[in-house]
Amino acid sequence: MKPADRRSFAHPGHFIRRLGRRLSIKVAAAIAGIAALVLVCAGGMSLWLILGAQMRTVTALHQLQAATAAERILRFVDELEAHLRWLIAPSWSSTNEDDRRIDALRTLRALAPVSTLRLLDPQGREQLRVSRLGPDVAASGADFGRTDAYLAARQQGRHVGPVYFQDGSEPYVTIHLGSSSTRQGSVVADVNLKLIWDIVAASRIGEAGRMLLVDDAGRLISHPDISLVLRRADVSALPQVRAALTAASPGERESLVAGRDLDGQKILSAHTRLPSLGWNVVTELPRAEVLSPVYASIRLSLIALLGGLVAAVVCGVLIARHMIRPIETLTAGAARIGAGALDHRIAIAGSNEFAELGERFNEMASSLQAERATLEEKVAQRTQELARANQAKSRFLASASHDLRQPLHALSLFVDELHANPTKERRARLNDKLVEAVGSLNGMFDAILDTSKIEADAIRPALSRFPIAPLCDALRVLFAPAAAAKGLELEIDSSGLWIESDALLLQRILQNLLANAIRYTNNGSVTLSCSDRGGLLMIAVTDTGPGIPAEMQSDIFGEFFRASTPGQSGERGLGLGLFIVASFARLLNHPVSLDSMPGRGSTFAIQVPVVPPVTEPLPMADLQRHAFFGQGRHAAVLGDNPAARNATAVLLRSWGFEVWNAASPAELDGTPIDLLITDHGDVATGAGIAAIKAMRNLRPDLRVIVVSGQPEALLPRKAGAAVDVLRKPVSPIALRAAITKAMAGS
Amino acid sequence: MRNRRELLVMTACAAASRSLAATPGRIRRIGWLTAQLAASLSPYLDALREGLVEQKLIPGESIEILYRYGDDRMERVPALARELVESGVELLIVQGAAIPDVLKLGLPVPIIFVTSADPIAAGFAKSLSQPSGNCTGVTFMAFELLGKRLELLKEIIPKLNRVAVLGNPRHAGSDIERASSEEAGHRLGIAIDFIATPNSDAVLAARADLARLRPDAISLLPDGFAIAHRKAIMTVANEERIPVISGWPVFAQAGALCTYGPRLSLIYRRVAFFVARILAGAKPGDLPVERPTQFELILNQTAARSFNLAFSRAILARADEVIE
Repeated sequence: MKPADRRSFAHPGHFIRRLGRRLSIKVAAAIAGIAALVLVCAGGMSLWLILGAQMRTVTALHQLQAATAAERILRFVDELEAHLRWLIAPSWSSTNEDDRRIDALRTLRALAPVSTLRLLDPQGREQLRVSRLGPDVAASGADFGRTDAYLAARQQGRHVGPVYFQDGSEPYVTIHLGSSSTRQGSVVADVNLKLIWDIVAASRIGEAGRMLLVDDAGRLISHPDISLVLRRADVSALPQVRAALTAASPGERESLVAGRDLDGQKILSAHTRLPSLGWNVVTELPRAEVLSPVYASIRLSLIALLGGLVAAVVCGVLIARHMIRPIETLTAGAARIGAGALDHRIAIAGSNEFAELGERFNEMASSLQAERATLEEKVAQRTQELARANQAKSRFLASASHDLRQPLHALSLFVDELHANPTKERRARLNDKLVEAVGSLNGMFDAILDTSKIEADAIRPALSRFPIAPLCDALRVLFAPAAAAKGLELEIDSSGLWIESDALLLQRILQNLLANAIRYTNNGSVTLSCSDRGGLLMIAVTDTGPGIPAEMQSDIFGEFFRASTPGQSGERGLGLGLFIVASFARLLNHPVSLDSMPGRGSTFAIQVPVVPPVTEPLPMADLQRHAFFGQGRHAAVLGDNPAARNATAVLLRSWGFEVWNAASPAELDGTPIDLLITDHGDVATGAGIAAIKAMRNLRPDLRVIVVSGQPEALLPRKAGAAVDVLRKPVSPIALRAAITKAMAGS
Repeated sequence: MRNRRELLVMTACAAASRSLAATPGRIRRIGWLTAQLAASLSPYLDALREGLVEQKLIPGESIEILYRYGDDRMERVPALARELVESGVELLIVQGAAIPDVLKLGLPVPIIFVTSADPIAAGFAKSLSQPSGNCTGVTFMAFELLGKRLELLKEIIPKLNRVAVLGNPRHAGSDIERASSEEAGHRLGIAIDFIATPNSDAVLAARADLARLRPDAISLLPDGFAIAHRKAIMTVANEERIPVISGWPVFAQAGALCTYGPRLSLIYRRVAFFVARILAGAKPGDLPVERPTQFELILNQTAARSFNLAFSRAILARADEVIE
């Protein structure tokens, strides 16, 4: 795991909590926010509507109250007028002075607000004056006939004069009442408007509201606090009074006027004009009182909104917690599985997507678990296999060293015997035995060499087309002596077919099969047969040996396998033969099969692809004449040791070569040689190499085989590619195989 | 540490005292001062107390009134006024003849005067609408009514030639009342004699003047003094066979021929309004002086008969009450 990953999972609990908080806060905030938005919008709209309706109601209510108050003022004046008009109802001439006086006095007594009464005759002259405080005057004759008030009263029936303040304090008004009839008199009354106070004070305007009566000049006529009137407080600057004085046509629907009363308290005001009197009713209602239902509505709405918000937040948190818990469980589970606890399982109740996701996580964890178990099993198996192979190798090394020591031991015995100067006969026999022992050793080393090459993957098959017949002939020549020695009948068929394979590898396969067959068969026969099987040539080696039990048949192609065959005679192999067969066959892609039963002998078969014959001359014609494959060729043997040189020269001559024997390269100057075999000590040095190179320059086709006891690794590189190296000791067969290979590679 | 503790204690005390001061149920204390006898004004004090109740000032509960009476001894007035102020009254209601003496003291409390005089002529206030001093109050419009009373007398007694005006010269408006009477008498063709009656001895002494002058009627200036001595005055007048006219019903009930004047009970009731406003913090100078708006004419039929007089239709038409 990388450091970065480890960090993010260092405190999985903390990480999960943080994630959960963040996500749940977001979800909760989203839910609460949407709910709040809806609530605020709805609340705001309804509040707006309610406020509008309430303001309209309040306005209408107070305009109505103002109108009612105005109505009462008007009624007061009208009643006054009705009483006064009674004085002049009869025609002037139909009443005498005394009656008029008594009526006037009664009226004065009845009408408390009236302080002075004047009766004018139809000509507008004062005929009577009665007063509460002032002197009564009879027939003063003062002429009112030309005053505007008198004329207006004559025309319109009534004239209300301007408000004036008696002694600068009490508001008064003079009312003229008259008639268009020339037979009737008229009446003039001074009215103390302080007495309207009863009406003004009694007019209920809301809970704590009040009404003002002002004239058109803005002077205060009446107020619940009569002191203000008597003090002649200036109210004309108050916004509500100004609004009343500048009001447009009466009856027009207006909203309440905001202002302040004389105490500075905030008020809302309505007003009504009394056009017949030139007065105005102005109501003042404390703003707090007017707006209290509005405020109550706002409060209620806010409380509802607040409740809604709290509910939304609670719901949001609950829903968010409900949603986040499975994610937390999932994250925690994933973290645990990621940390290696593959047996952990995520449990999420329900059947929603989260539960589904949890199931997928569990499945993933279980397959990871199974995968790991399989891997562990495979590792264990492979380890076991390796251990077994190691054991087999150790066993092989033990047995191989023992097996290799056998011929060496025999050789040392034979050499001892030779030192004892045996008879000529005896020496010839010893010679045979020596050859046999050396051959045995050669075979063993060849097998080990092949095996190591196979294991090093150093063999590259060189496919070519060739007829099978020469190969069969060569095998017959090779194995006839061994078969004859064991008293076995060796039968090697042949065929005229051509095949495609690597000649040398195929020969090694068949050699191994035949060698095995001869080795494990004590009597009977060994047969090599060739049969065409539809494009494939089946080459089968059949023996009449003990056969192979079925349970061993799969193992025999393995490395170092040796059947423990009791009573086996003759030379022992190293157990590599069939491994080499199987390995070469696999390289060549030639299927190998086995048919065997204990007691019935064995048949190993290999299938090789059949090809049409090739017309050109065979490159390996020498295989045909293996006994004389050196015939017509010139070979040179170069070496320090004359004995070794001679032994090799004799061997080469027996194979038909014409041989030059030389101790130094100079001796070979001018000789036409095709093959140089050297074990010269100088070869390992630069001089030897140079000599070889010099000879190569003269004879480009020269084949060189170096027989050396030294490590071979350096030599090919120093001498160039076309050098074959054989390690000492070299058996005749090995030498011949090397010569064959060298000549074939030309 | 000690300082801190003291500070704490002081703060606590201050808070406690403030909370006491702010108690709405605190009893307000006001003073009532007159130079007259207690008995002379009791019906009007009842009206004052009713007015206070109307103003939500309930005597004995939310307001305490300290009454002081000079018992006709004017010289006692200043001491009584000081005593009231020292008693912690928040305002003084001063009635009648005591007003000028009290105002001269320059007391630190607001003063509400109850006077039959013209407050402007008497110097109590600069104007009716803006008294603009430390005092305000109500007036009974005594002098304005004198002419009206003479007019009424003239109507009841057609051969009226001489009227004696009987009054307390120490009364603040007595000069102007006397002048006003003389002016009205001149207008109506009536001779006016002024007989000063500063004390009860003077009332008895007035008999000699009356006997000498032989007026057709007596106009008794209505004030506390007259009320207090109304029986004596009426006795003298009846013995001298002179009809009496005065301002207030109490005189008609005592045997006067008629009375014409403001409804006093309404005015006394109105005094409570001034008390309430001043206790609420209003400046006396901002409260206009109020005059009566309602007047009543009381006729005494018995007295008329004893003088062989008959009330005319016109007089009866004006009358608010006729005592049989």
